[in-house]
Amino acid sequence: MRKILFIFSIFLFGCGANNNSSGDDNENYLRAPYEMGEASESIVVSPHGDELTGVWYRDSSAGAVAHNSSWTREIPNMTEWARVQFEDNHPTFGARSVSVAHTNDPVYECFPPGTPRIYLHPFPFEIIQLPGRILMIYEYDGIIRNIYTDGREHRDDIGLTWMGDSIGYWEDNVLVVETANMNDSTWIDREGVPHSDQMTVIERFELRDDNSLWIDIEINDPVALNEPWISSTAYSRTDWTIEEFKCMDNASFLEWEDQILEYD
Amino acid sequence: MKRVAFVLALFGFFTLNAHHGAGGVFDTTTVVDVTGTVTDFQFRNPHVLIFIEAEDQSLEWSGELTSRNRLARQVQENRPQWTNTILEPGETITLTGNPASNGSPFLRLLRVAKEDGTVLIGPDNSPTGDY
Repeated sequence: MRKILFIFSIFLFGCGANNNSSGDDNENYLRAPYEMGEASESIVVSPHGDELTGVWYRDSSAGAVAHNSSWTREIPNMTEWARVQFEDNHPTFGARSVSVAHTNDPVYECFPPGTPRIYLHPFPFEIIQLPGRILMIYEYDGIIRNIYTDGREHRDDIGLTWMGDSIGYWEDNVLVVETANMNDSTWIDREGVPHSDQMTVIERFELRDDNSLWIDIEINDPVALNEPWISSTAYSRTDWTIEEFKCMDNASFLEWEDQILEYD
Repeated sequence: MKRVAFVLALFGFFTLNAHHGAGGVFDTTTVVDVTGTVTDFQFRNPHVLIFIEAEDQSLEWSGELTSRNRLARQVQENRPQWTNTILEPGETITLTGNPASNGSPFLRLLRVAKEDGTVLIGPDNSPTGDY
């Protein structure tokens, strides 16, 4: 029997300033005016303006390590704590795959996939660079992440969330995003690798050319992983728009698959 | 007319379904053609569904493709763009796909073709070899 959890998500996000001028002076990028609201007077923006802004789709031919269901071909170096859970997880992908009817993958109950698993779902995402933050809109279930680049620290006031809270900064031309404060209810991949609420993720975004985005992924979890799980994924710029794709549509679709199993 | 061919070599040759693996629900070693009249076309997520009344069986078959979003973005040379009106009830089409493992009239679609031969998705010729 399938459990279906109805999650009503309300995404509230303000329309921040879109003055993204960076100027030619290399020093100016660190201090751009913030025109709306009561935000601080100076906000860190990208060294090169809004070069990451656009809609991106995974490029499986670019030589990145991740594939469609996990971060590496081999399972990661898991702790005993994680291995016990791994055995109890029944994914729909990989060597241990089962049918949708028999999986306990949390995404089939419409829980958010978490960070970094969101990248393993084969849908585009949009990056919108704003002064002080970078908005990432993932087509899969309309997931939104705010990457704050205004120098703030990780939050300590709201506890754990599905996608975590993210802060970003630049190391030369690489946008480094650190994410923490994620709950332990998601899987790291689509093959059932678990994690604890101590997991942290580092994404490093680098443009290889104007239309090629490379993302190095480093997953650390002192409870679940004996060593960092290192991977990468690659994206190409598209001229698409982000369309609606809601997980709850999966629930209604299961009726069709139930008809197959119950056909008499 | 329903024709069945066993095409072992087709394993993974053309994956349209990215939602999840076939997971034993569909027999991915078998490919069938079913020709009939469209009774319903659901251009939706997570999988586009096509329902037809089979010509010679008075039996409703249905088949699934990938998501609406993926189909709508698909650019295929010399082929029509997938939209919510690419198929209309009443027209005759041939569905080609992996049948349900339990023998029920459901397909994991590999190919959709109109009566005039226009291929909407999938290989130019039916992988059953006798289309």
